[in-house]
Amino acid sequence: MKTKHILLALYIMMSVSLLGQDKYSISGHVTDAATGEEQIGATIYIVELKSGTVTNNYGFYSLTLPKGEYHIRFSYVGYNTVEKTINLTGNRELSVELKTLETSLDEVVIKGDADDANVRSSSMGVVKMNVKEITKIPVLFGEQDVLKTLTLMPGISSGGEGKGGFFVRGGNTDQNLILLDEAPVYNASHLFGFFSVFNSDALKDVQLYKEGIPAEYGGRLSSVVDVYMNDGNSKNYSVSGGLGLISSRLTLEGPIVKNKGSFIVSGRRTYADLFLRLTKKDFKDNQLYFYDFNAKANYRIGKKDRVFLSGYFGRDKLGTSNFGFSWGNATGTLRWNHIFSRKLFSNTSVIYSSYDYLIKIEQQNLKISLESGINDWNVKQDFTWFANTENTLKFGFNLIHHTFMPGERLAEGTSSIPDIILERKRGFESALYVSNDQKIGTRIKLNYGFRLSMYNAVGPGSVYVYNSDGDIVDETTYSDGEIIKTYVEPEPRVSLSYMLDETSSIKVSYQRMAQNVHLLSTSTSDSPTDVWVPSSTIIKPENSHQVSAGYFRNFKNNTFETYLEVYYKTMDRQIDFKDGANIFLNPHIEADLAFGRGRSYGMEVFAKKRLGKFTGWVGYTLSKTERQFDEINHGNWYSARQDRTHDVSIVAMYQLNQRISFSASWIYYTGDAVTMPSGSYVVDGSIIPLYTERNGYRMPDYHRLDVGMTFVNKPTKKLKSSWNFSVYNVYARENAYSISFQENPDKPGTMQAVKLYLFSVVPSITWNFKF
Amino acid sequence: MNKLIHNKVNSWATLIVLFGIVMLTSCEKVIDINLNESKPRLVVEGAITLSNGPFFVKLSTSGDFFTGEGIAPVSNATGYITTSYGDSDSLVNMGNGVYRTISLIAIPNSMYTLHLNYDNQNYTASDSLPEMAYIDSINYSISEFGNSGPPGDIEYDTYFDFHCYFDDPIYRTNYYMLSLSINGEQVEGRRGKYYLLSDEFSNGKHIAYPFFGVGAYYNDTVTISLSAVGRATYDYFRTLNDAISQGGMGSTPYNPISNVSNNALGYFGTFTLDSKTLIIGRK
Repeated sequence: MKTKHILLALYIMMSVSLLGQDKYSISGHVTDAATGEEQIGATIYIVELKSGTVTNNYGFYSLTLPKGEYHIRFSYVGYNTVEKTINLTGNRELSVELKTLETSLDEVVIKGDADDANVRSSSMGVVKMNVKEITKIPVLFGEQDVLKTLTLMPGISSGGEGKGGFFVRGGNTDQNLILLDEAPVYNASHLFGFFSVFNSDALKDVQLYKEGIPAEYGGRLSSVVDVYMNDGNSKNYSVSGGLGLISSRLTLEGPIVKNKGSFIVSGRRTYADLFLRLTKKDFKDNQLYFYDFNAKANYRIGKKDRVFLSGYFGRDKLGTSNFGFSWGNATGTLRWNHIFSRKLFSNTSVIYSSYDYLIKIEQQNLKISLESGINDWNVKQDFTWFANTENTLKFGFNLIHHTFMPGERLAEGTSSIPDIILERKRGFESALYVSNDQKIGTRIKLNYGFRLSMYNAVGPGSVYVYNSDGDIVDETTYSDGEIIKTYVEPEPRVSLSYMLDETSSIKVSYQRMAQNVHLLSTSTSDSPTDVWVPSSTIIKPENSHQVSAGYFRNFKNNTFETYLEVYYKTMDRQIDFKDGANIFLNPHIEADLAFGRGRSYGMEVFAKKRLGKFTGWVGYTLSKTERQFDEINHGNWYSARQDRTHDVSIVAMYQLNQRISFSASWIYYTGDAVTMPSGSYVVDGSIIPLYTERNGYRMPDYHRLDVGMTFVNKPTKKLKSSWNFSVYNVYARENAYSISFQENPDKPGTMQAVKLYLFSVVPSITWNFKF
Repeated sequence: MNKLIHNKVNSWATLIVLFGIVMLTSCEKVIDINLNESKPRLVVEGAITLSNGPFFVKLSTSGDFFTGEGIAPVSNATGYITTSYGDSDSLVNMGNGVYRTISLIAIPNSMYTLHLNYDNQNYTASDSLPEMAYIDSINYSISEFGNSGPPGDIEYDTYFDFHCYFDDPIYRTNYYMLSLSINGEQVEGRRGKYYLLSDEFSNGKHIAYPFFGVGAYYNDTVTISLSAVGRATYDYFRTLNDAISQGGMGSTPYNPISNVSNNALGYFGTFTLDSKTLIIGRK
């Protein structure tokens, strides 16, 4: 019923603007002149109408305009703007190639004219990162990392050094939907979070949505990180890469058939263990590394069809001669773009995604293996209908088949270790959505949509009912394909922007999100052995409401971009563990879960200098994030670990001349909320700490300054290369990784607090090349 | 076994931290932290073992975390124990926080409840005493796991795997606590002080409980003991293991799950006891 009303409302709103005189459409692609890569989110601006559009995720755009003569500007961050004059007397195709700015800096100042997208667009809370833009920001070991760079923006905070994950507006780390070419990535961390799985060389574009999330996305409560891989150079073959202290990268790309199809393969491997082997004898048989492999190919079949095939495979490996521990993701995406008409664009995707970990112990005749993982097949259909200048509609559906493998332990050569195979779980996650981007007059932009999501837990399987002691009181067995439980969640989304004048706007948004896959982790940091579980008879879908409002203003001809936003978010059916829960190979884990709620509210301030020799930004977040569970902390609200009252990031980049640039970043945040003892007692001769409240203490505040320098070598005809030098944690702040308590050796019988910190000053050097 | 794998994973997680230490300059440092004070709470340590008694209950208070100030025996409490078969026995104050029963005898498959009054507050705790569990046999073999232990271990003659064999009854969920001592010294588990087992995955089977990678010398005397324990007792010691081993990493710390009411700490447990001894000979 609800859906019907919304569709009707949509129809009425649309039809108002459908009346009019002779109209024709212009459509085409915007690409990079050097490589042929499609530009996502490039701006197409009609000077006469003071209005325009942006390219979609495939670099395609379409505009419907009345007959007439127009000046059309095509622009994209970091590229020269191209202006075309056309006399529109019929439908036509207009594809444009943009050239990069990198050679001439002075042009940057002049050419940034129409780039006021942050004020004009209806979408708020979108963080867009062109991968090229981030390469100068200093990072640990010189390893470029889009996820790390995103945490320098307000509202997005890092999981912590060596802890993995990130938090968006008080959400947990599993509430971020991370997509790589549309495929969900279930564990985006390498080596316990020191690195992310995204090899920047293989990436084109990254967008993070923290509010006003468009209806085409769903499945997680807090954010969507949409990562697009490069399509590969469709004009020339090229080899590029980098040699660093702990890892190296290599990328190969080129046309399959010139201007019709291209491919890219990119790989990265760390070799920290090789160094360790050289320096430490004990390390001889040990492994400690990760690798990533990205590959993508695309081909145009005629003017209207294009297919893409892309994949990612990455794994971390740790091991000794008789022990192995590995984990990783694999994704694959087959996509078909079809242009039905100048106004109707379609994308169909078939997606595979998996995550698993494997532990192996081998001792002569004894072999033990332990495995757990998740496996998805996913079909997605998206339509974009460029109805007219005022309305762009998106609609489609998504169907995911999940298989969860909660854990299996198999042992050979011993009778003292029983095999444990936890029942696999299956489920279908599906959604229908429709949304419209609408302009009303010259001042109002509106994006509204509705997503109807559904989860079906499907047999075979056993379903248990537990009493409050965790004992089974009832059991039901379901056969293959039988529906165990169905959840339907309506998810309305709306965002509105109102232009106050040429340089400022106010925006408001509301969103409801639902989540049916949940990450169980008893640890306070993300671990590769955390387990994904689906909604079930006991675990209900998590959901959230969020409202936000912001004021956006640009200064000095869009040289400065600023905003101030406030938000309030509530989260229901949050999941935590009862005390003493065992998540490891526990078939009745659901009996150990506690369900509660969360809330987060805050203010975010951002100021960025976009243009000129000196660029950078300052971001500040003031927020509060709390949780409430009946079983935890006597039912009182308590601070979530990620409750960081103050969070500051300052990023500065200075381009001295065409060859030398400097950068620096400083971050500061309030220490995480943690649980520490408030007393002690003796049981059976051991001193036992006494806890009186959950997360009642704070880690010391975290802050750090990093600096970097990039030196571009004189390019030769064949080779372009550059050196990147960076220093992590310049002033050697000893940021606490953990605080533990141990007996004071000087005063037996008394305790002392000991902090562990991971990094002091870390210099690094990387050589990047392209030929 | 979970313990072993967990321990391997944990030690590798530690190795990741070590990775920082080897490569770079990470290290540990003593720091000052202000912890809140908490009101002293009653700590109960009491046990019913399958025997003719007497049974003991020890009472103390909690104190300051850093200095232990305030941790003291409680000598002004009164109490008694009731049973599910209608028996009751009062506790005699022996001084120094120790109380004992007079005539109570333990009978399997019965529920025992401790009642205490201290500082005008009432406390109760109960658990059921399981049936006797007998060790079938114990043995040892040279371990493949020992040599992967943390560096810096004392150089033993070698590392051994010990096994304790016993039959698990099929009729209900059973909980066990085991211990191993070498020349009278109790050996702690690698992940926790207590070795615990529930028959969730081995109900009704002939169980071979392993103690992997224990360092020892030839001619050492090894005693393995097996206790069937009550459910609350199992939960307490399982979570007490976590409380003892909780360092800075890992899960959110919590108080062990106590069966004593009214916010008291500690346990009132039920145990059976059987043990067997062997001497490690050269093979």
